[in-house]
Amino acid sequence: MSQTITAPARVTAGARTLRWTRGNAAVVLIYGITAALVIVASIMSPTFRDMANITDVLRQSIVLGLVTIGQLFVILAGGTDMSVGMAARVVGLGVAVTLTSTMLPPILVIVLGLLAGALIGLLNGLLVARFGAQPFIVTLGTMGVLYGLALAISDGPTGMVPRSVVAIYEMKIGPIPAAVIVMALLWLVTWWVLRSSRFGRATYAVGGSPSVARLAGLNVNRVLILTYTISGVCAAAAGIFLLARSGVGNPNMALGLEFQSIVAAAIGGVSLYGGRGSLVGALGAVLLISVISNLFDLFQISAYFQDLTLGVIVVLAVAIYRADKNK
Amino acid sequence: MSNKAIIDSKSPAVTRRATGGRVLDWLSQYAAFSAILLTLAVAAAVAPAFFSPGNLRTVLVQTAILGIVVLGQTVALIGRGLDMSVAAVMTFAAVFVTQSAASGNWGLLLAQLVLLAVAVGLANGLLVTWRRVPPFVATFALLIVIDGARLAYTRGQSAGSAPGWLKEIGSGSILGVPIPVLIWLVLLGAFLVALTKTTWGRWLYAVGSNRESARHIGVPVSTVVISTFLITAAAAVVAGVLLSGYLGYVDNTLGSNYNLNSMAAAIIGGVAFTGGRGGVIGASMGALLLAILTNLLVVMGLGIFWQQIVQGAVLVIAVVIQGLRARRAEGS
Repeated sequence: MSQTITAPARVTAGARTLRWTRGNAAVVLIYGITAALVIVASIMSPTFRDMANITDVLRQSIVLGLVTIGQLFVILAGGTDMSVGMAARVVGLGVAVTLTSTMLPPILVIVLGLLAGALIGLLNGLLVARFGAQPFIVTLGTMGVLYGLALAISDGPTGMVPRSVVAIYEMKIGPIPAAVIVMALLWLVTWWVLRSSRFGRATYAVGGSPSVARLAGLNVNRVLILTYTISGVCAAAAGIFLLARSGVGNPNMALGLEFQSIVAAAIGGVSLYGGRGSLVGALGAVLLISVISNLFDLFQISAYFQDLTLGVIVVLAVAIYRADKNK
Repeated sequence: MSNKAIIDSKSPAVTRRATGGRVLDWLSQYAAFSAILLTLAVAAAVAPAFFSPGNLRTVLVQTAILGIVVLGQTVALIGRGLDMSVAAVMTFAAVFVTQSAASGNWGLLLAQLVLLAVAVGLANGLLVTWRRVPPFVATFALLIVIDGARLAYTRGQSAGSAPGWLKEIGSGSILGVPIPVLIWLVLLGAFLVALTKTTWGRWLYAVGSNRESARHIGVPVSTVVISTFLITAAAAVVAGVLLSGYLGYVDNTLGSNYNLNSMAAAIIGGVAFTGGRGGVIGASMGALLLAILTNLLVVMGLGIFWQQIVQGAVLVIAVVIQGLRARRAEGS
């Protein structure tokens, strides 16, 4: 951890900046690429630099952002959550059907949906922490089960969503969508939690070395369970937001979110072995992915090439950041 | 705790621990086998149609095709890896097969299939060894690349039918045994010998148990790891070709369940996800179990979603059994 090296008493600001840049090469790179892409796209395309499109990019980054925040906790604690995409889908479809078939107030249904997400995450956390199950493989299993549940709820578009729920997506404060402001606050809160709270530091410690964390008196199992629960709630929130965006329960929603969120963490410089990485990098990666997919749509690049391009970017990204030797 | 208390194995706590350990040991070896018996008993009670000769043949062919993928996945798991790209490789192989049916250029087909296996296997292997990417990320990224390449290559129309000779292989029999089953059994024998009787097999178990120790005793660790990914890719190509022959056609979802199922089969069959433990016989039992379970749900007329739920649940249960056992072995 190069950041923790104690600086000599008198270092110039320039030297400090240089050191920070070296320690956070991934973060600098990701924001550099994003900025370059935005500048080039703005020059080339009047549609892109339109204010409405810019806010749209930000709004579209919310779904991936929510899932990535949850995934970040899990990865920093040394795990992986493959079930986030299907958790989002099950909750989204479940909320859609419940809203349509019952007279329950929407706010209650949404809270129940978030609770369902927490329950899914809690189950994953228990499987990993209490039963020693390998995180990637066991969450792949719960992903399969959740996929089955989603198919059981519906295999076609289902449930009309009331206007009050669609407002989650559409409401604006001035020119800026309210959801974007809430999301920005959420990134800030998460940044603080990871950086300054006891739980945040415990998350890094558990990911760095569970046995050392245990010796230091941390309740490793509780930290692990909590990270998966957070991931479940975030996935549920993403599912509900997707529902608010489309207005109907879509049985194909949230496709590939598990992969995109892991990718966002990886190209944001977060170690996939746990214990190292920052939220700032992951946020940059989420913005980059959102800008890229917006550009794909603007330039009408075939969906078939979009997957291929994303895949190639990922292979290059993971190949560039060679993992630490001692892990 | 005094030494005496540790040695005194008759204390109830120690006995309970030992019993729990024995149960887990037994489960990790015979979970697949006992679950097969249980499922067959359920089938006899609720769905006698399961035992019709035609259906049993279907189950065996499905076991064989899954079983071939599982052979590769087992090798990857023993080397403490796993391969998420097998599903994508299967589907791409099947696409090549249907295109060759139209052109009749079998030499080109062979070249395409070999190239596919070598390219994917090398890419996975190099990412994992040279760039130290975790296997699930490397193979998952390759999954996206291969699927994307296939969609770009076919413009999303992965449709077509298999050539006649392949359909005959897929659905034919020799002396009453379906040909895919024969191919599977031959491969199973070859893998069994390779794992238990060859230097490569010993190297593989050493690499899976402890990379550092293996390196110290002179095992070419990177080469062994790369070989495991070449093998998973090759097995997936063979399975994809056979599956297209058996089904007679190809679509976009041809291989989609094989990632989860091949891992579930291997792990419920006693292959440890922590590496270095398990073998192809147990894993093949796992393949048989998954084929029987999936087929039984169809015969019982239950919704397709039950297949997903059951397959996911088998994987979760398998990982939990192995996880508890590994934890006990650590002595925590």
